Amino acid sequence: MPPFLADEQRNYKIIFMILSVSLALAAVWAFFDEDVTRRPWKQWQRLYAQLLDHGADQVAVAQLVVPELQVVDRCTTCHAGIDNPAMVGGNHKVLQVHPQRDTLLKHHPSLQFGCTPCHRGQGLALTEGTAHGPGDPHWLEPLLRGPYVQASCLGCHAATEHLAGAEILAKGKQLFTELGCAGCHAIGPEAPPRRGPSLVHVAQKLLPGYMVTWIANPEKRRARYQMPQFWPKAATDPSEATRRDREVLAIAAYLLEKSEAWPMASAATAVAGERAALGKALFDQVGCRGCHALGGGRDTVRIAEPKAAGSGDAWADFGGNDAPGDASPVALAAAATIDFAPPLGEVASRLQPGFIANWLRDPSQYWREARMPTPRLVEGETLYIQSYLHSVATLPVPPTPAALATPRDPKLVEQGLKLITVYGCAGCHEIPGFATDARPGPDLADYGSKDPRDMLQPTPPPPRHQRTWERATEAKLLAPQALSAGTIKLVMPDYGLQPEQVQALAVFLRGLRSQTIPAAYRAEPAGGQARLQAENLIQERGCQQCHQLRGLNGAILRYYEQAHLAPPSLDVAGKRLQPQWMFSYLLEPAPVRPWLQVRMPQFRFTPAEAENVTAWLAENAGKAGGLRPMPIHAVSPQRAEMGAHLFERLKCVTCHRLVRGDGVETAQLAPDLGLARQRLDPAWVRNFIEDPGKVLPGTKMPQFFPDGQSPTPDVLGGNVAAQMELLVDYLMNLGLLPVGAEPPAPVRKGAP
Amino acid sequence: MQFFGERAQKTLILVVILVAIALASLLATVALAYTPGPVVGGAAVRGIVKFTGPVPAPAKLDIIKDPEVCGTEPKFDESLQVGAGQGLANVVVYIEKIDKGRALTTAKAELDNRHCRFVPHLQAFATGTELAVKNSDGVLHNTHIRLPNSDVFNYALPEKGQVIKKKMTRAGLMKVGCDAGHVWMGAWIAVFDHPYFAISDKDGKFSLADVPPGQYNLMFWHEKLGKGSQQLTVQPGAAQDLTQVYK
Ligand SMILES: [Cu+2]
Repeated sequence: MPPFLADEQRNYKIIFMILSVSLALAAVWAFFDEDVTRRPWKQWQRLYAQLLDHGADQVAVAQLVVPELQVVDRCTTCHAGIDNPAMVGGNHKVLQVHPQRDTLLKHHPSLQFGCTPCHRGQGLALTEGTAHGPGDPHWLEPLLRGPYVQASCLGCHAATEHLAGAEILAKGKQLFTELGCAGCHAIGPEAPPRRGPSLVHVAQKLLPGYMVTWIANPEKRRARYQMPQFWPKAATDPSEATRRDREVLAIAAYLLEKSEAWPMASAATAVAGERAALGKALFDQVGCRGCHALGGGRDTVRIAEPKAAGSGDAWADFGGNDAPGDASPVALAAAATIDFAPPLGEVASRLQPGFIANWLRDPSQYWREARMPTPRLVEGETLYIQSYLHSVATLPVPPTPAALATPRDPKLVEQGLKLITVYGCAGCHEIPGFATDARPGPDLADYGSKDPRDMLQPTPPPPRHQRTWERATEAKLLAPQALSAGTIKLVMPDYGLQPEQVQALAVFLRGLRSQTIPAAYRAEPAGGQARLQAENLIQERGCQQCHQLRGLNGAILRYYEQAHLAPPSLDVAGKRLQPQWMFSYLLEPAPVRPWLQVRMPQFRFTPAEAENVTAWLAENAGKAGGLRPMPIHAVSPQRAEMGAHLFERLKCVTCHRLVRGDGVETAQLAPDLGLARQRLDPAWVRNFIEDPGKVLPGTKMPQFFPDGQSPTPDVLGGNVAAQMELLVDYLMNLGLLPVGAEPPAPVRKGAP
Repeated sequence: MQFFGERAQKTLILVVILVAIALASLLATVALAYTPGPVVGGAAVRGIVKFTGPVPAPAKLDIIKDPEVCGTEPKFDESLQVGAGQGLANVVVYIEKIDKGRALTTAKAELDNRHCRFVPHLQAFATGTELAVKNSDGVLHNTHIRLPNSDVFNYALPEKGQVIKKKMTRAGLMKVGCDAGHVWMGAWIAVFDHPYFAISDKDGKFSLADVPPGQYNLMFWHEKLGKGSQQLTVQPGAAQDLTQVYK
């Protein structure tokens, strides 16, 4: 022991040494910690460099900067392989390529879009917790997970209907429209049409006794639209039920008291007996069944059963190799919904006796925005159908509650006015005394960026870290009045939504944000708004309830044994018809096949709507050129004469008329060819003549040239192609040829 | 150990599944199709079909088009024809789902449009038979032949004396009609992929030759009276006589 060191000093030295070693260890540990624990991205960077055989000098923070979107995203620091197609498979999920790189990143290059505009989260953060959230409640932009990432599409895409990968969002948007959410909640300056029927003349439509039971307990009567439940707690809470019954009476009293007079053309009420039988025949034949079921939502009545083997039908059970074609009812499994419109089974216990006949004359006279087309019935027919529908009812007519009989208590009516205001009935229904743009619910234009701390939570409230935007919104939609709201009275009604509907709606709502997107990033739908409008109209008006179109088979087709008696396929019509003809037919349907019992109704399209639908159907059939008239090949008089000769030899006039107003008997067999020039597409006619059954399965038109043989070998040397061409030329020039006088077309009212 | 990439493996599995499905469906078809071969101990099955109910007078057909060609003499419904001893004519008799036996005999068959009727009203033949569709009238007829849910063909015959020949390859019960305004024209054709079928004659008699021993369902079909059936057990070389009754 050296003498110059005292014992004390020696102790200090030991302490000093220990401290030094600790410091050294701490430094090493800090270095390690900085590198690995606090900067986990370095691991991913190293691993990525290693996988790619790069040197370790590649390890650095990666950053995507998109000034137009105010984006600085460092996500690719860890997700280094996100745009690298080589990073498929492997054990490291973080480094993997974007699962939909081929579609999504192709249209949204990462250098141009960054990551957070779609996925959200904190783009600057370099650790998982802060970047992704919502583990830390202070981060307001948690990563959108699962289907919620689809919400971001709404920011730039004006239409989400056909966006691949945004199906849940599209469903949510559609639900928002169909359920009429926009009636109470604005998301933009435009007020969409109200979803519910007009109540302006309700006293002439509904029985008062039925009104109160319906308002208190709206039934789920069809797959699509539904009136929601405004007193969901009344089912379990007797005091709520008492309140509900009192409020319902007041609401009904106001609606009946303020109902405005509707001029009814026919005072005739329902009469059973023979009229009902005639009405049933009409109801079955003219097309009502395309949209309306008779029973409580599902309807098994069929006009003609498909001939399926084992059905007991002696013909179908015979065996053999029958192969149902496309037009066969048996093949029509994927039918449109059978309950597109309200079922009509129990109208006598719901409707005033004279309502149906008057409504059928022109639904828009009762309700301007009515979706039901005008069915083109004549006066007597509307009465027959009314008689029939009133005769199928089995439920008793509900008595009128005493409080609703006239004179009504002005206090009750006054109370009804207040309740209608509170519940926002005018959001969906036109009601006398209420402004057309009344929006009782809060504006939702920025709902998607709402702070979850400001949102109502279900009872009991979930733990703090689970109080996310998604949970709060889903809970609200699932049971709107079950959230804890303190003293606020919740009035949003219960739509009885299924969990997947709730999620779809929430995804759509998540996408609602007030944000300014640079013009270059805004995406218009392919084909523009005209195409979208056409698609909405086709869906909204139920074209596919009667017509086959794009894989959806009209619900009404199941009632037809023979395809040629059913409404024609619109896939075929697009090819067959000249767009100009389709356009005028949509505006004013004129009978082409008088033998059909089903009638094309009048949809009350505006010219612009008819033009958009026509253009859509033509495009669907592979035709460009819009509504321009089709070029017609002119023929010489000699060729015309030759055409007339062939036409006569083939005896086409056995079934087809050539001039309007001529040949009443043959008018029952085939379309009037005097219309061919304006109506038919020459290329389609050529294909149709060649093999009618192939072009139009189930048609009555026979094949004249089977196996390429002509029955008239002496014409044009028996050349089948030349004969078909001659027939088309002749037909397309019929209106210009001297085949007799062409009187103005007499439109037979009430015929299809 | 991994021989292929993940994708290649998936493709391989898919191919194996598809091949399996294809083989299975092939086997199913083979099992159902008729295989001709030598018949040992074949026996005749004869019989008579009777109708014991009251026979209504046949309905008069309403000839609403082309009377100058179709003829002005009254035409009657041909469906229900009862002969001597209550024998019921025009019943299709056949063995159901028979899968082996003697070879098919294909003949030539004809369907004439004559005076706006189909002649014959009912016929039966084996697949592979060539059917000649003929128009003996001077008006347009079209011969539209349908299975319950699909068209077989629909030929127009605008010329008098015109004949269109068609080899019939599909089996089944076919309904014939003319759409050229002759709504009363109707006929039936039964096509079989085996030779064990017959049509009862005017006295209701039928016979099936050389039926291999075994147990079968003997089926009956009549246009108006529908279907009937009875169990049939054929012993080697033992001919038998049956009676089938429609009420
Ligand atoms: Cu005919």
